[in-house]
Amino acid sequence: MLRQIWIVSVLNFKSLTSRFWQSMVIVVGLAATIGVMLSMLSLSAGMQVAYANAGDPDRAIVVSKGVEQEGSSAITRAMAPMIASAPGIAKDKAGRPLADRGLNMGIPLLRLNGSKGFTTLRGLAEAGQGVRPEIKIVAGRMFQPGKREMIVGVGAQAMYQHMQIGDKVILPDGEWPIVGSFATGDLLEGQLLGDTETMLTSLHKTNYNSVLVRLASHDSLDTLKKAINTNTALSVDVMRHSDWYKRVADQQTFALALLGYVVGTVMAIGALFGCLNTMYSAVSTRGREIATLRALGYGAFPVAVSVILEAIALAVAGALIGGLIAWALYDGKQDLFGNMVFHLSVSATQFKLGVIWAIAVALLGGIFPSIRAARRPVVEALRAT
Amino acid sequence: MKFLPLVWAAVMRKPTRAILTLLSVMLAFTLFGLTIGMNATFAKVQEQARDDRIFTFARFGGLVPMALARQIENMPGVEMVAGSNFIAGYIRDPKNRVFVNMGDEKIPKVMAEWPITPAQWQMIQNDRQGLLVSGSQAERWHLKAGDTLTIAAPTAKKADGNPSWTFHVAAVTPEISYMSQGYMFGNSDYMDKARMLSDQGKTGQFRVKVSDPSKTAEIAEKIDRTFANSPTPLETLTEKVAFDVSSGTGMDIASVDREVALAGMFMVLFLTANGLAQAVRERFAEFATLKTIGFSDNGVIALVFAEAAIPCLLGAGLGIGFAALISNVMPHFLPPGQGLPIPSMTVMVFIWAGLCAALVAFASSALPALRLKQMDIATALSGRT
Amino acid sequence: MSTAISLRNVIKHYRRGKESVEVLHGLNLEIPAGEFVSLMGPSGSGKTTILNLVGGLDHADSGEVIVGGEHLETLSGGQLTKWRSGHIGFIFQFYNLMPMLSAAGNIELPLLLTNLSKSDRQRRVDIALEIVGLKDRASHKPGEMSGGQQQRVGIARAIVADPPILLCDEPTGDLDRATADEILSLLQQLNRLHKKTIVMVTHDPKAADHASRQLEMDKGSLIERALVSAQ
Repeated sequence: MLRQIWIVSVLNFKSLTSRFWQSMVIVVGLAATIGVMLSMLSLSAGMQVAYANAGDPDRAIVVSKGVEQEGSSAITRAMAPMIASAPGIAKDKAGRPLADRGLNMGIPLLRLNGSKGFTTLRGLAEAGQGVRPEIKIVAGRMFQPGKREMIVGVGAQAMYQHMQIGDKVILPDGEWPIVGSFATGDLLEGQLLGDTETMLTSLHKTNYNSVLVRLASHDSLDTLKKAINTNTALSVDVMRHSDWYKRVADQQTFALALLGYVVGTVMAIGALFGCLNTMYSAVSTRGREIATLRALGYGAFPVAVSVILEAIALAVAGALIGGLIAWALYDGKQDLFGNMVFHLSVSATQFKLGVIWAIAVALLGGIFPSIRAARRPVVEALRAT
Repeated sequence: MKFLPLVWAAVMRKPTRAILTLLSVMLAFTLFGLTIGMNATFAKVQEQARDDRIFTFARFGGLVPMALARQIENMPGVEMVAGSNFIAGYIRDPKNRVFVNMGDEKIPKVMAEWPITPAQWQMIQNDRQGLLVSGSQAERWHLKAGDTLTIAAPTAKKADGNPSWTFHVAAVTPEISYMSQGYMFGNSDYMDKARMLSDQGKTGQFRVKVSDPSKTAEIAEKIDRTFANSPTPLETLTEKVAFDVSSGTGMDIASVDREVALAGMFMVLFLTANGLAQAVRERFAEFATLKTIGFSDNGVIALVFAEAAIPCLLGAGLGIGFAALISNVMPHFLPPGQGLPIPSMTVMVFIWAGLCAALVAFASSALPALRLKQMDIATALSGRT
Repeated sequence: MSTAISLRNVIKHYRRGKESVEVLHGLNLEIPAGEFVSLMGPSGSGKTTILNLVGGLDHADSGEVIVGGEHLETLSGGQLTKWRSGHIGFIFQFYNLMPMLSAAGNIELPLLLTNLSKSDRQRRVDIALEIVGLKDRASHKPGEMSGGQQQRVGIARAIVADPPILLCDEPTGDLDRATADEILSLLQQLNRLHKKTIVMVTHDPKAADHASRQLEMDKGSLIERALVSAQ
């Protein structure tokens, strides 16, 4: 049986050159579909990656109860030390808890093209770098605590004006010079960092937005949660940092991803009809050839399978071509959406998705023609011109 | 018109092929409609942005004191300043998100073109807890005039810590076209009086009406400059800029839409050109016969063009229609608060679709037409005769 | 009787690969109006070429082709096409019908090129169907008809615009004896009753016998086969 399938399929492919342009219809159809879909998904996929990288599963974030964004959360000066002294938090070399009081707010900036944009101004306290070891200074130096200085992420530098070392950022109490730039490999690269306490004073604020802690171990989250939830003075939520960002990521990327899938679906259905068309045509063109094979003793099933295999091969080829084009055009490109700076992503996951869709289209688009090929009475097919 | 039966018979020569082609074309044009329709929506929204209005809010977040509004009103060229804020919350279940705009008594004058009557505005002035609900929102939450609505807003708690805000539905009002998911309007006084004393007399943003549209940008900049060094620095956007989606997201969505539509058209072009080339190849002798009967070169070419044009134009029409259907259904599948613009099938969308369909038909019939023109009738017939 | 068809000193070459083969070497032919002429000869002898030249489907390399008083060699491709639609009716060996049109639809085709109204066209199609005896098959497609019936449709299409000249290329080549005889009788009827000038190319001596004048192609020249009065 397998041998028959193999032989018929090989014959099939040999005759493909005589059906070149028709077969190209399937390839082009899938290339366009998957190319477009992966291009569109590169946005949401890239955002997801940026968020995922930012959310370290060995960290936990503490925000006020019920809020979904750091900016709306308020942790008072009284609450912060209570949180920092809870069990389950890792300690630095000096025995101090790695719990950082953070600030998170939007700051308007000018994009490179002159339009008004905004990014996040983030405050780090003394434990900041301990909790976030991924922050690497790539130029200049780290800001000094207590000083009105800032460092800028390399992503923000690429997307906004006046983000070079030496440029000044205007806060209510005056100009803050940028003294260095940093890289983290996640969405923090699109942001500005400064000293929390100094910024609070500058912005006439008293409350922190969050406390970010490094967990003593991956599993100590429960210990931390228990301790904090039993403290009635604290009305906060504790979440694993990775879960926190997962939720934000899902919310932010939902609409974009949906758009990508809707577009992909519509095009895939269009490609499906094109595929059906081509395969019916192919089966018709090869009518005599198929009938001869069957008259010689090859079964109907191998014939049918060979038709489907042809469709699948063409579709997958198209999908890979489309995916490659999307990858070449977009993967790794830095992009801006709202206040997020991230890299577009066309990765193996997306390619796999594209291939699966291609196979699905080919299966649906090949099954009916293949049945027709298998069912057509041999005598009739042999007689046909 | 008398040639229509001939052309139609040619198109339906292989009914399956014709229908599959039509469906494929239809789906590509559905995509066209969704993408170009979305651009049309953006354009419509942009058009409705008034060139004599400005949005102003706190540069570094937080509330702006109403006193600043009076100061801005005193600037030359400024007609009036209204204050507005919002409450983001949910009804019963956190999944049921709602967004209530809270405006002051000047809002009706600054936003004069909104389809809410003075009598209706007066209702929420008379009852501070009054609420004007747009038709779509009223339908979604099963509200009618006289109902009481309680909204839970953890991010907008009252002074006593209570996150519940109780409203009395005063009237159900007409839609505002650029608010695709409807709206709810309340009286900001209700919000103001319920806040902590230190937060009273403040609002979220100002809407500034300018008397001379040519001065709008100038005044916007002036506002920012004036308050740059004040305790509450301001950030100002003209309404035209604020309504520009590209400006907001930093991404040129319109050109992405066009590229996607183009990809779809490419797929269609390939399919149609291929199908037509094949059909002409198969019926070469028939075309030769037509020439012997007396059909001119141009006549035969016109028949071929018509054969391409019928599925293209029909597919375009059906496709745009289907896109309209999807657009109407789409909002029901989106979680609220996801402000995805709904594509609108304007006259321009139809015209563009028609043009693309004609172009595709033209390009598809180009090569076959050339072959037909160069046809040596005698040789073509000798294939059969 | 006036001469319907005149070929004077016609030379025609064909390209076969790199070679140029001369098929007609200064051919002369006079066919008076109202005659039913058969052309016989071996394959490649040029019989179909003569038909194509008379029908304006091809140009002679030199010489004169005068049909119905018109010098075809002076007309351009476009002019020939226009001229053809009122003056010539073609009948083919394999019928060359449009498979997706009904019999009536096929027959109507030449009339679509005229300014006749729908009802006028319909009337003429009916007449043509009547003449060939296929009134009951008007709405059938070629795929639903026998070879003989399809050829009748072909003939109906050739006569529907009432052209004075019919050119037939092996009209009975694909038919059995009995059917062929029916078709040939029909052609005779068209010649005698409706005064059509008919030039028929054929392999079949029995078919040729139906003509009022038989010609044979031999090495590029025409020989009178026999002046036989048809039965």
